[in-house]
Amino acid sequence: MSIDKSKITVTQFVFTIVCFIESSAVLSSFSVGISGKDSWFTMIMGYLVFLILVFVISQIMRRYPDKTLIEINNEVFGNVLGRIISVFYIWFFVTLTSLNLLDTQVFASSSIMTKTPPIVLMATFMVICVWALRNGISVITRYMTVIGLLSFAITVFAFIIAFQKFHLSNLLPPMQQKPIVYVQASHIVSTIPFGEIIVFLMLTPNVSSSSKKYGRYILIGTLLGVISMLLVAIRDIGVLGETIKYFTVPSLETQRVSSISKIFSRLEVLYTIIFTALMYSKIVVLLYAATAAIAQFFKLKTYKNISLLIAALCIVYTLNLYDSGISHGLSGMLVVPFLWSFIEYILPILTLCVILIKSKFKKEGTENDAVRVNGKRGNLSLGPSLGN
Amino acid sequence: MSAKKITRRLLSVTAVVLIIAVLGGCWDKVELNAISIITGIGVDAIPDNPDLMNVTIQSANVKALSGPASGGGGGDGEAPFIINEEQSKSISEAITQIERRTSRSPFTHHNQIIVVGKDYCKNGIQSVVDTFLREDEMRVETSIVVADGTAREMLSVKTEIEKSASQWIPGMLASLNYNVGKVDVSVLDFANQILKPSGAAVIPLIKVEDTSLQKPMLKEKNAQQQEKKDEGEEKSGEEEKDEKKEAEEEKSEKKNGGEIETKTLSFVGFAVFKGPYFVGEMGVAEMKGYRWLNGDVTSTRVSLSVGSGTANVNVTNAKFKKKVRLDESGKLIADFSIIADAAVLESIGIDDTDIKRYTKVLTEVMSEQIKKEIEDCLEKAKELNADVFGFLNTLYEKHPKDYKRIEEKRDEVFKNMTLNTDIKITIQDTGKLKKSILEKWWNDEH
Repeated sequence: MSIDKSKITVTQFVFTIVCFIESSAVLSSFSVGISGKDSWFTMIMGYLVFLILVFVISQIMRRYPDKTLIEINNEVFGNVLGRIISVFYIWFFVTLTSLNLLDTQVFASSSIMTKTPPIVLMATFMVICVWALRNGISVITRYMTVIGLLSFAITVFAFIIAFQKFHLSNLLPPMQQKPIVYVQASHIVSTIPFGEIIVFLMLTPNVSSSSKKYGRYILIGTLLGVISMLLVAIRDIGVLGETIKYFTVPSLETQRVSSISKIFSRLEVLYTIIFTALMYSKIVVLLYAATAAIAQFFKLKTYKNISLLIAALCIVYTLNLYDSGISHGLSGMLVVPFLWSFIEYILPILTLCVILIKSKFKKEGTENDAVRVNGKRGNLSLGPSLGN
Repeated sequence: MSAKKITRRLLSVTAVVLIIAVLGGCWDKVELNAISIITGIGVDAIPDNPDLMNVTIQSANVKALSGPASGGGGGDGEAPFIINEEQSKSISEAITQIERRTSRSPFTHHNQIIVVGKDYCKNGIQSVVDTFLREDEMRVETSIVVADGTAREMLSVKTEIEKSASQWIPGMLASLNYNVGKVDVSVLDFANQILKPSGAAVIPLIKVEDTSLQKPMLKEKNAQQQEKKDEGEEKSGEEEKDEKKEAEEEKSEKKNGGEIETKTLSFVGFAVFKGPYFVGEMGVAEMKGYRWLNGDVTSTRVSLSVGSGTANVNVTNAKFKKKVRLDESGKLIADFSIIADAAVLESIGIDDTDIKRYTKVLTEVMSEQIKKEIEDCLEKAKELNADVFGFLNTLYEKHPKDYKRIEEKRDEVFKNMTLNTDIKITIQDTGKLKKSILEKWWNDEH
């Protein structure tokens, strides 16, 4: 049972996923830095890999529709091993919150508020997230539909205004790089952001749905998100061409150069709005997951009291995560995807395997019991027949 | 209301006020009266020191722009811009050095133009491109031009109509975009072009031309002074005083619209680059072919010589097709076609009594001329060994496997390439006249 008793609708759940994925679309440089003009292809490949996880998650959720990830771990692996695995997930949620907070701070510090101390930016952002968090998950997700639709509308509008600078030839020739490039970039996309969807296992008990088709909801949400991601990637490649590999935030540069005559120009402000709103939506969900997971781990009655503490912990963690933006970038390309693969893919697959094995044994046990019972019955029934 | 509720509300209000105060971004406030808005940046070579560059910064002179006497444009004869220059290793370093001697902080976000002196280009413009792509305050869509002379001289010109060269050049490039095709090149365009397989790019070449018409009074005085000098007359004390006064007046006249103010900037062609290095120039005549081959023309004018007569036609609705292929021997073959409409704007001394024959003659001459312009331009590009038309890029985009075959010897392949042109232009309109009103006399003459 979720620690937050409030309920969210299916639409809110789907749009929260859309915002979660879209927020990564605005920061696509990890994979773009590797696959360049073929990023659109690696996004599709990454999504196809992610479908394995969707299947795994939907199977787990089908079996435990009213339980959070932490409760599932305890249920599946037992109290000791389950808690050890939960520690991995808690570390993952806290780290992910901190990494996204770092991304937000780095962007704001380098592009919008260059002289504002990073700690002020992070503290302000986290105060707003905690504020939202203390009102419960239903309040958080209530705004996701608006943010999701707004960001999608801005993405489409940005695509239209970038059309004048868009050159289809910049996407040509497709797939001329070494296969390892596609493997690496697809792997990154499958873990950042798609695999991060595992965090929604902390929210599923709150979804008020009679059908409980969580796999379908995740599929719809991520599909809408990936469409947005593809739009952004194709637009950026078409506008920036060969230089896309070299920019740290390609989408910002695309927005900077996009204009319709002189009427609509210097539209990076749109990017800033969409970026801030989407990063808020992602961080607040991650912070909720981290806080709720810690509260459940320590068997607290409510997560709200510790939300500020966890937020402060995330800020301190963010300040100590990397010594520079370069280390962050390199880690995002070379280290993090492998670490995340373990948490996002290996652990859920392991969980499902254990569930299946346990259920098989349980089934066999039940069948044996049934056979035993039937056997007795049979004997009982045989008796008279024999007797006949 | 309970005390607890009141405390909570007070805390909430305090939190909101604090958040609003912080969200305002106090640290990042930029007051208009504390910044110097940079409108143009120029880079020149220093002849004796190749390690340094001479950076010229043109900033808006707010005093001249806002003065009541000026009506918004250079009151009291004051130039609407301020020129600062510094010798340094990089543009950012120069701006930092200039910052030390100004009361306002340089603000590069609104920079309109980057001017690079031709001499500087010879050593490569990689540092300029890198600065504008990397530095967050600089914008990658800023136009870049090469000065046929020095960037310092160009940015110091007080142009007519527009207030400064940094406003004048983008305006001119936009106007040329409409009339002769895309000539405007941004830093991003340039970077993109040199990263493509052909590695060649062009940047507009602009020259400062002295078209000053000295004021009649000033001219007369100059002539008189020259006469006196020639005659070797001795100057009296009063005469010397008069001379000084006249010199001051002359200086003032110059300041108020004399020689300096009537210099103009002309587009004289393209500076051609291979990678970041300057390899040569294309003049206006050669550039005519570039506009066709580049395929960016939507509407342009063509002057034709037909026998002893001349005609001017406006070419519209142009559609271009460029196909490239490699033949078995590895020779690059390009098939280039233009299909367009044309309207006659001027026709002098050409027999137009038979409209069919007239349009046929014009079409043939026009096709021949465009073909020649294209061939001349291609020859020049081959001479410079710079595929500025992107034939190699198209080969890479459409036939990557074929490109890989010739990648190592692509320069040689470009030099030996063959271009087949097919031009189909239909004259749709003869202007407001069906035929010349001089028909009668024209028939008499012939």
